[in-house]
Amino acid sequence: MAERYQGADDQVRVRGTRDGLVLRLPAEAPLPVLLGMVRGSIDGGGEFFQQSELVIDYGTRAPNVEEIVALRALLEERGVRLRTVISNVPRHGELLRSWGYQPLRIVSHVEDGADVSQQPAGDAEQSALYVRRTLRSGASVRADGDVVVLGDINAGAEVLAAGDVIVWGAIRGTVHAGIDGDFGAIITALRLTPTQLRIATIFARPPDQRDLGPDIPMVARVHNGEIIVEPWRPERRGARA
Amino acid sequence: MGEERQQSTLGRIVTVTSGKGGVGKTTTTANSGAALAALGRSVVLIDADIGLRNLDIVLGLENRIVYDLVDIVEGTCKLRQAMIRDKRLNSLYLIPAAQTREKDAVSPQQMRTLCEELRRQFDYTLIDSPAGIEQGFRNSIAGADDVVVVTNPEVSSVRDADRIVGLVESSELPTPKLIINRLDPALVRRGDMMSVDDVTDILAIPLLGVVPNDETIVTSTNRGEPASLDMESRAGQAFRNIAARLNGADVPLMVLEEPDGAWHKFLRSIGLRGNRSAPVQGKGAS
Repeated sequence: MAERYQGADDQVRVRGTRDGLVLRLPAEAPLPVLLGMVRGSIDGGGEFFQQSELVIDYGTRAPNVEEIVALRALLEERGVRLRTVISNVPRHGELLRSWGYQPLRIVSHVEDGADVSQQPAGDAEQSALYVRRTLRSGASVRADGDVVVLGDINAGAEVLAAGDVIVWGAIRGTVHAGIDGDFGAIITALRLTPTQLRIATIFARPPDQRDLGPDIPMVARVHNGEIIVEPWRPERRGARA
Repeated sequence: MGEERQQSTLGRIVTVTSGKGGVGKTTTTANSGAALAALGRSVVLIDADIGLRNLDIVLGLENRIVYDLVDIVEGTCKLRQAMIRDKRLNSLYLIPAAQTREKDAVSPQQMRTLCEELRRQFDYTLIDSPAGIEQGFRNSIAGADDVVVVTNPEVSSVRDADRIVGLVESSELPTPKLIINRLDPALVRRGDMMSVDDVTDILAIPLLGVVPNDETIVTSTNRGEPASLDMESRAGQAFRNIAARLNGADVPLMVLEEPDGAWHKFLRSIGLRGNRSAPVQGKGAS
């Protein structure tokens, strides 16, 4: 095992989160000691870390490019992919971002942060943020890429995505796709009864009379400057009810 | 992981909460607690609504209060001294809230400590949570094993219940159970009230019980006598069922139709409304 550096916030800690493993670095520890600790944590975990992905959390530690390169190499030697690097300090977060490490972008308004689930949008083209639970009132999810929700988005919850939002469940809350201005973004759900939909800069709400519409998968997209909602795969063939 | 409680020997801590105020948390706590005690279990009820205490009134015990929850956690009195024994059921106790203090007079850690003590003495500890999602709510779930969320079948109450369910889930507590209070089957039938299905569709948590809107609750609350001890009260029956389910029995949902309306008799007689088991199962309008 790694030699331990003394003090409180002075050890490498691994925690499993909804979004995978997060390796929290100590605030101080010089590089050789740090590398020893990380090596100890990974090797001590046996096969646990094999083929896994890891997020490095700098916490309050000041990030440094050489250090990250060394850590990445160390992880890769052990078959662990570095997903992204994050920090608690906003200034450091910006720095990391400028080096190409996207922050975990899900923000939650839940007070103790326990409802926070996070996901990097590291390579947004390949990886969508996958939320495997129902987002209840008060939950807020943001992502730099696409979002897939296995569960419902209840009224009072919101999802904001730079890309598409795909929901295997009901949308009852507010969804904003293409937040950075992508008018080609779409929103789909098994049941689409939202409070409000937004795509890029266009807002739409369902008509006031509560006609819930057909209970079939629907897709919302921008057409001629308006958000239109239509059945998913609108071919008549096989359409239910 | 790791910390298995010895449920077989220790009692359960159940918190009753709702988010929105006025949906029936206190009524639910008092009535389920009384019904559990009537089943022969030892029960203590804690009023965690510090500053706005009510549970003592619903139980008709307000004039017996000497010490309260804050006195216990501050060490002003012994636990036993603050526990008021119910005047009808001798296995039912109340720990009242302080009326002249604020929610922050108690910390989550103090609540956990108190709950650990109580679970050694009682089969059930029911905690009546204050409305809201702030400190009072956090205190009341701090020591809980189970959380029961009370909602009314109307949109704002369900919305707040949803928020609470999310907060409970993120507190590493098991998925809460749901009580739908004040359901009016006639309104549901007309499509003017959310049905049980409408509510459970949104909240997607297990249903512990459905309590019909029943004016006997108003009178029993004012008299300080839990309706669950009144064998004639339909809401009381619903609370007795809830208590039985909390206690591990498998009791079906009660039929909420008014049994003796002339109109319904007529409909039944011509076969339009047979012995449907509970309109609560249906989608409402029929």
